[in-house]
Amino acid sequence: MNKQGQHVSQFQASFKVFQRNRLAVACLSVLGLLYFLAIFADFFSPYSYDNEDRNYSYCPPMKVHMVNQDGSLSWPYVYGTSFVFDSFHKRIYTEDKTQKYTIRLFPKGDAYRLLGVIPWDRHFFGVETKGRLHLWGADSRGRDLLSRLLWGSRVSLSIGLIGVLISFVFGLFIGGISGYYGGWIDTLVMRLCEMFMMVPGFYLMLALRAAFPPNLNSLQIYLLVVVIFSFIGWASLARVIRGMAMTLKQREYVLAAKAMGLSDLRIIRMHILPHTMSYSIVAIMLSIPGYIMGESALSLLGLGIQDPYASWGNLLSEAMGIVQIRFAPWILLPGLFIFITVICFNVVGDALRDALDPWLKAEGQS
Amino acid sequence: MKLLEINNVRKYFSTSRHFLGKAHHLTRAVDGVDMTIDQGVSLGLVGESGCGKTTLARIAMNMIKPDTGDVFFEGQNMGHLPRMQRRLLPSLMQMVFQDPFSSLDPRFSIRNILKEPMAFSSLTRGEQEQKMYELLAAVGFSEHILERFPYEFSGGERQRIAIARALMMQPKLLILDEAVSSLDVLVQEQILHLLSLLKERFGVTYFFISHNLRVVKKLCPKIAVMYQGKIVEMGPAEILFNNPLHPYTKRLLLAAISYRAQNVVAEQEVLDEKRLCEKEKGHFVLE
Ligand SMILES: Nc1ncnc2c1ncn2[C@@H]1O[C@H](COP(=O)(O)OP(=O)(O)O)[C@@H](O)[C@H]1O
Ligand SMILES: [Mg+2]
Repeated sequence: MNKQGQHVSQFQASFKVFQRNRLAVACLSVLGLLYFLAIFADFFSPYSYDNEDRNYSYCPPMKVHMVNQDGSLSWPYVYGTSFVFDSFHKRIYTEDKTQKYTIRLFPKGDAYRLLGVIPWDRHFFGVETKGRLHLWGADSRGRDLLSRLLWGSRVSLSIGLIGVLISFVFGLFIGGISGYYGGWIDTLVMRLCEMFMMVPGFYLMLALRAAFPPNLNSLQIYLLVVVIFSFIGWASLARVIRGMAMTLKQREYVLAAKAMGLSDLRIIRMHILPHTMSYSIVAIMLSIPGYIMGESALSLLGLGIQDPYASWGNLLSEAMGIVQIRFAPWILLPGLFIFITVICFNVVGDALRDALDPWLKAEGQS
Repeated sequence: MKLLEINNVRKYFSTSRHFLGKAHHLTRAVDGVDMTIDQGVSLGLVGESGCGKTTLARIAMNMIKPDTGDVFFEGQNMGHLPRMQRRLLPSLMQMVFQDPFSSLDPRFSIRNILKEPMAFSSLTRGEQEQKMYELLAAVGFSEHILERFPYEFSGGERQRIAIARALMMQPKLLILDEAVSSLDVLVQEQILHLLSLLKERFGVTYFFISHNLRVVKKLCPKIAVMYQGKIVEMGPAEILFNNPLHPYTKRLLLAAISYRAQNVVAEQEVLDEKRLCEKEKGHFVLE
C-alpha cells in the first residue's frame, strides 16, 4: 500500500474501472462538449437566440458547398435562398446560385457578452450579414435553429444541474438530521417525504407552476422551475440518506465524537454525510435526466421558459403539430439533443455506480 | 476523593414490542447499580457479555439517560448540568471503545483524528500541536504517521491512537470499554503496559471494562463483578481474588485461571431481593 492514503488509491482504482468503460468515457466526453458549448453558446452560435428574418420561415437546412460551379475546390460556402409559394401557400425554398456567401471564421455578428462580462461581437463562424446561414434550418419566424439549440442548451443543461444540487443539499441535510435524531423528528420528516413522493411528480410540478402568477419574466421563470424541481426532488434522496444515517450513527467513531462533545450538526456534517457521498454522486448523475425532462415537459406545455428565450423543451413545442413535423422535420432536433443528454447521463451514472461499487458496499455495512 | 458516583442506576430496554405498542419484553440492562470511583483508584468492571457493562459505561458518560438513579461527577449531578458545564464534560471524562476498526473515522487522517477533540479547547494552535506530539510520543508513535489513515494500522496500533485521542483533553477519568478485548494476547499485554505507564504520567483514573478478570487485575486495584445488570461483588483486587464470596465471581475466577470454557449452565438466580453487603472493609457481595 502506498503512503498517500487509502482514499487516493481507492479513488484511483475506481477511476480505472470507470476508464475501462469506453462507452461511459465517450458519453462523459459528449456531456463535456455539450456543457462547453452551452457556456460559450453566444460565441459558437452564428446568431443570437432572437435574431429573426421572416423571409426564412421554416427554411430547410442549407447545403454547404465545397466545389465551385467550374469544378474548382473552394472554401465552404452557401448560396442565398429564394422562395415561391406552392398551391397550398407553402413556401418552397430554392438555392439562388447568383448569391454566394462563404462561411467565414470569426465574422462580426450580433453583439453579446462573453461569459456575461466581456462585450464582443465575433462569432465562431457565420456569413456576412447580407446573407443568412441556417445549417440546421430555421423555425417559423426564421430564427436559426442551431443558434437557438445552443442558446437553449444553457437553460436545459443548467436547470438540471442547479435543480439537482439544490435538492441534494436539502435531501442530504434533511435525511441526515432525520436519521441521526430518530424519534418524532424522524417520523415527522418521513411522513412529509412520503406526502411529496405520493403525488406524481409531473402533476405536482403543474400544480406548483399554477400556484405562481403567469406573467413572470424569463429569469423569474427559470428560478421558479429550479425551485419547483428542488421541491419535488429532495424527498426520495432524504429517505435513502436517512436510512444510511441510521446505520452510520451506530459506528463507534460517531459515539467517540459525541463523547468529545461535538455538536450534532458537526457530527452529521463530518462523520455521517461524507460517508454517503459515493451513493450521492451516483444518485445525482442518475437523477439529472429527470430534471432535464421535467424542464422540457414544462416548457413544451408552454408553462416554462417563454419565447423568445430558448430551451430545448420550448423549441420542441413548435414540433407539436403534425404539419410542422411533416414539412419541417428539422425542428425535432432539440428532441434528439434531449435524448442524447439523457442517455449520456444514465450511462455515466451507471458506470460510476460500477466504479464506486466497493465504496458503496463498504458504506453499506454497519 | 470521589471522582464518579453512581447511585441506584437503572436502565431497562424494551426489546420486543407488540405491533400495537403493548406487551413488550424488558431487558434489564442495568438494574440498580451503586458504585464509586475514587481519584487515583482505577476500577475494573468484569462480567460476561450482555450483562450491561456497556450500558453502564454510557450512562456514566452521560450518553444514555438512566431510567432512575443519579450519576455524580466530582459531586455534580450530571442529570441536570447547566449547558455551559456540559460543554466541559469531555475534558473531564473520555472513553475508548471496543472496536478499533470502527472507532476511528476511515476518512480522517491521524492528524485530524487527534485534532478533533480540540474543537472547543482553549489552547492555542501551537499548544494543541505540542499536545498532539506529546501524546503521539507517549503512545509510541513518531510524527510521521500524522498524515496517514487508520486503515494503514493494525488493531493494536489503532487502539493506541484511540487512547491518544481520548487523552488529548487531559481527562480525569478514562472509561475503557473492552478496549483490549478484540486484540490478541501479546498486543493486549502491550496496551495494558502502556495504559499503566500513561496512568502515572497523566494522572488519569481508569474505569476499565472487560469480560476477562485476568486482564482487569493487571491494571485495577479495585474490581467490581457485574451479573445480569447488577454488581454482585466489589472490592480490592487482592481480596476478591483470594476470597471470592459470590458464586458467580468464583466461576469467573475459575474461567480466568483454567482458560477452559465453562459448561456450567447459568442457573436463573433470584437476584432481586438481595442486597450488597459489606463482608470486610471495602469488600461487598450481593446476598
Ligand atoms: N439500545 C438498546 N436497545 C435494546 N436493548 C439494548 C440496547 N443496548 C443494550 N441492550 C441490551 O442490554 C443488554 C446489555 O447490553 P450491553 O450493555 O451492551 O452489555 P455488555 O456490554 O456487557 O455486553 C443486552 O441484553 C443488550 O441486548
Ligand atoms: Mg459491551
